[in-house]
Amino acid sequence: MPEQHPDQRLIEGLTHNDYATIKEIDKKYRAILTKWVLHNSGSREDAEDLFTDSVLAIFDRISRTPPLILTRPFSAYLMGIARNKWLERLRKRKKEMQVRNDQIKRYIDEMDESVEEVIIHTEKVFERNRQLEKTFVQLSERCQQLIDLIFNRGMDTSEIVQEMAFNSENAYYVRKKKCLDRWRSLLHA
Amino acid sequence: MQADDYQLIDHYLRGTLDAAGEQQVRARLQADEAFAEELQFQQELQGFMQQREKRAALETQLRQLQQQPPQVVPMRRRILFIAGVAAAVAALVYFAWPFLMPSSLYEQFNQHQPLALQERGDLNTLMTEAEQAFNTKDFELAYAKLQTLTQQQDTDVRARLALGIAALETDRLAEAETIFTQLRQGESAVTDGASWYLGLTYVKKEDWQKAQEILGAIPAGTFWAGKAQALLKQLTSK
Repeated sequence: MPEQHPDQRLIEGLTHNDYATIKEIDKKYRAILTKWVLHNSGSREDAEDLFTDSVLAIFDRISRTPPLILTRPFSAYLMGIARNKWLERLRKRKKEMQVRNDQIKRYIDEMDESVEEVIIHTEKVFERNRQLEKTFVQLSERCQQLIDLIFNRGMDTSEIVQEMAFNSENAYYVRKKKCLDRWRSLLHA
Repeated sequence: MQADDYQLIDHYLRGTLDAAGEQQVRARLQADEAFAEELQFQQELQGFMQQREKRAALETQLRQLQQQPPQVVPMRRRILFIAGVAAAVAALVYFAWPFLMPSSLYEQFNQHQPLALQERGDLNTLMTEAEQAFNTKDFELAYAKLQTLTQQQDTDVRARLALGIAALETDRLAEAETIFTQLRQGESAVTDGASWYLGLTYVKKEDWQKAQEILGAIPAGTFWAGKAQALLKQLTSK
């Protein structure tokens, strides 16, 4: 079994929204990524969005199972995710596909097959979370509140019935089912 | 799927089923594909909702850091700068070492995570002002804003925790102690954080025994336990 890389501490920090970790990641990698995007048909704004989305993608992956264990440096994952995302964005803009990797070459060189696998999984999770967020905010305010109370606040049924003024527990279950069905249909639309 | 199945899943996800109920779920998972899909879907939503606030806070923090543009300094200037800084640090260390030490144990540990109260899409001026004041360490202003905010929305435990921190930073120690004690006794996402800050309040009051007691009770394996252990190590020499 491959050994855990010392950069795993950055994963632990991100899990807990540790500000020192976030600052460290920002300080170490944002400037490099910005320089690379500016050399590859992007603007500073593009670079900032790309950096944010890449870190958020790693956060999304951390939140899923199985746990993310780094076997290579954190930079290999971050830059690999960023590179894929940027290629995808250029593709959508129908821009020339040739990108220069000079600025991030040393990070890309640190990748191996296991990193590639994590990156592909991370992209899927990020995309799924993007869809979940996009569709969640399309639900009615009452559904959003109900779902938040159930899944996030961990309130028990009787508390929710009281908080949201349902007539009975049965009314709560009916409403919950309707809200989840609506969310599901938005996801499949 | 039957009507009862939704109740069964609801209880399963809350962890309120007894052994027989758990067994019933396992059996249904084996036998009923629609049941298994529904449970998996709700588990995914639960995971997503539990991380949603943290994710929004991370995005806020990253965007705030981006307001400081990355500096690309030419190598020659960088070398000169580093040499200058090294010389200045050497001189400073030589002449002013005693003054460079943190003036108190409290100051070694009072780093706070940035405040991100607003959910994505919110536009609450008072929250924005409170966040800005807190994140720029203007704790007197943050205290005033957070006090107004918590009077309006006393259910937001993150705002209550931030108010406690602002009180602690502005030497309103009795008030900080009350806020952290209340939050610590409740069941919320900030319980362990409140314990950490209650411990830190006692550090500031130099009540080492109470600080040790509170910090030592933070459950192992949590983020705050790591910080508490580091502080406890220093407290043992007191």
